[in-house]
Amino acid sequence: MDKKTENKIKIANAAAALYHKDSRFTYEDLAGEAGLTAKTIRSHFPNRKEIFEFYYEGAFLTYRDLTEKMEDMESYSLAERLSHLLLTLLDLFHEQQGFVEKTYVRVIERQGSSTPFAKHLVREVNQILMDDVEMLHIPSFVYNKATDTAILYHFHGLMRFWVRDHSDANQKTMELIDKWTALAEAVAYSKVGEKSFDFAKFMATNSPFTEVVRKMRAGLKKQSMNRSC
Amino acid sequence: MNDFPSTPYKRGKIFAKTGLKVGTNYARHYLDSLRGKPADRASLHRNTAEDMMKEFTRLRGTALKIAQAMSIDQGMLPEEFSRVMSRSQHQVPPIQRALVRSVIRQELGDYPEKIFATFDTKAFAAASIGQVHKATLKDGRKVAVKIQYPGMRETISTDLGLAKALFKRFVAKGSDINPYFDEIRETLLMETDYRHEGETLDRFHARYESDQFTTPVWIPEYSTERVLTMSFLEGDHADPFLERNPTQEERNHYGQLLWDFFHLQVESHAEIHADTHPGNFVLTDDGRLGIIDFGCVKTFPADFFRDYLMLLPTHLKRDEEEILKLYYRLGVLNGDPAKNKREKEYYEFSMNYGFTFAMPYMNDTFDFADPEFAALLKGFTRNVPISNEPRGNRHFLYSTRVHVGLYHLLMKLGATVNIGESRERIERVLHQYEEEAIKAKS
Ligand SMILES: Nc1ncnc2c1ncn2[C@@H]1O[C@H](COP(=O)(O)OP(=O)(O)O)[C@@H](O)[C@H]1O
Repeated sequence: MDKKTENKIKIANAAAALYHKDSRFTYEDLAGEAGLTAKTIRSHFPNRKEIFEFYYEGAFLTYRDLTEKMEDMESYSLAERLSHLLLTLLDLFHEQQGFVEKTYVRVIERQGSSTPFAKHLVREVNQILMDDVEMLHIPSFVYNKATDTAILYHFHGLMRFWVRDHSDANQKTMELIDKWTALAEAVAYSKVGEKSFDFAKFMATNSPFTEVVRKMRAGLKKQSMNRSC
Repeated sequence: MNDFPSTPYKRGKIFAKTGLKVGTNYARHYLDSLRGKPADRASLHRNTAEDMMKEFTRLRGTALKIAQAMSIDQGMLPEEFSRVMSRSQHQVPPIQRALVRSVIRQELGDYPEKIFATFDTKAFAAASIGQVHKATLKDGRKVAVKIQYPGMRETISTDLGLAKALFKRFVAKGSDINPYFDEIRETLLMETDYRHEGETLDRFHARYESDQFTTPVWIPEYSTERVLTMSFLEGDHADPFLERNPTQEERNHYGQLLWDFFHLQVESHAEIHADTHPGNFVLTDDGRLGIIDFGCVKTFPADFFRDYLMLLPTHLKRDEEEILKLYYRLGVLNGDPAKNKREKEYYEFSMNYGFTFAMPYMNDTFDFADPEFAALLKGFTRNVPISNEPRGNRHFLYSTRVHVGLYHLLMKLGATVNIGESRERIERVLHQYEEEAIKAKS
């Protein structure tokens, strides 16, 4: 990780800690907390919104940095790699839990796939899936925007579970991740993916409901157009 | 045969499956016997046990502990069950590495590579509710780090409820298994607090560390409720020891240490390491007995323990009057064997079993390699007349477990053991109890 990124992460962490105490802190407060000048901070982040957004991106970059230093990553299974990603992010969020609880929905979830964090996350999950030779069962063109959205939804769901997890040391979230990734691995290694694709392709052209589906689609499109204006 | 209803069972899912399979297996057996076809009971039990074990292992530690506790004694389950059940120890799925890292961070504050000088991410041993990793502290000490699977406490409570539902189908109608399950619940929940185990380690270390025995040193700075760090005990478990073709002298040495350790604990009548199975003992290079795993340590109530120990001399003397009194007090008998056929069956079985059990204490030495003794003991577990009615004081669960476990280990080692000193120890304890009783009366 380069010096600049390190500094930015340091600032974002300080901001997160401050935010938890008083959400209306100033750049001067932040300079005190981070041990830097307000001017330096401003050079990295022209406004507060960017700091908050970067907090999440920074968590991902920290994850990546940690992962690169791990020697046995090569031998991790699919479930282990997915767990490693999710658990490490939550480990980091845990340190600024107050901030994350208050800002995640606004800063990340509501922004859809546009934030750097969401982009990193989706790319990483896809990478993990594609790296796995066993995954050849699923043709690569099956991956598309829909799977990307699904990845994000799953992650948002996990965040909601985590926020509500009052078990000692977040044990329940850990269990959830463990069980969920084990299931994901089992599904990926089985031929379920391939067979579903086959089946979906067949049904798309032969289903008696095709007409109904087309109508539904048209309806959906209209709805979303309405929403955008 | 309405003990095994043929309708699907609707409680916990895993158990529903087992319950159903068990039901059909027995139904087949029952049909076979109606048709006059000789059914092989042993193979039936084996099939059923295999089915049950498969479902059980999914419940990880809880089921394992129940199986262990239930299978050895009480004649609650036929021998086929206990054999298959003990295998399950090795089949608990490992905690995956990413989770290990995060548990360490949650519990100790940072990832293993930051906390330890070295840390093997692959566990070297499975524990019942977690697993054990090798590591080195920054000061160079070699340690074993036991890590608990997240959410174990709650899992245990759920599993126990499910397990009870299943066991109810095996034991005779109307028998009360609640006290046994309460005992197991209490013990298991205690075992989920590794700090408790750490404190126990401290006490045993203070009491027994010597040129004969060694126990791990607890390292509280690196321990929490769910992570237990302790010094690593280097040495051989029974199996690798036997693979080396040890001399008889070496076998006797190992065996004697095990025997003495048990009786020293009896004499201290403070606490007893209640988990006598080969995985919990090692023979160190310098010839000491290393004792591992202090999660399950029992302090038996004085009344029970006195009666339990009294079983040994009374059986050796065949003092039936005294034995009867003990059986009543210990809940082995529920009625007069002279009047009730079922009680008589129990009485005769227990007398013979008790005598066999006390046999090692008869002379100054005892040869646990004696095949006749092994056959006798086996015969008792195999031919329990009463295989599915739990009886006896609930503390039997663990007292017998330690004692039978010790015998099995000594038989495995084929050791000849000097008995004299241990007999004196037991006599001294009984004498103390007597004095206390007299004092209490006056
Ligand atoms: N301090 C230690 N030194 C060496 N090996 C250990 C140590 N603690 C545990 N082990 C190994 O780990 C296994 C399981 O540990 P144990 O404490 O018996 O787990 P549990 O009682 O929870 O099932 C043991 O059989 C032993 O092989």
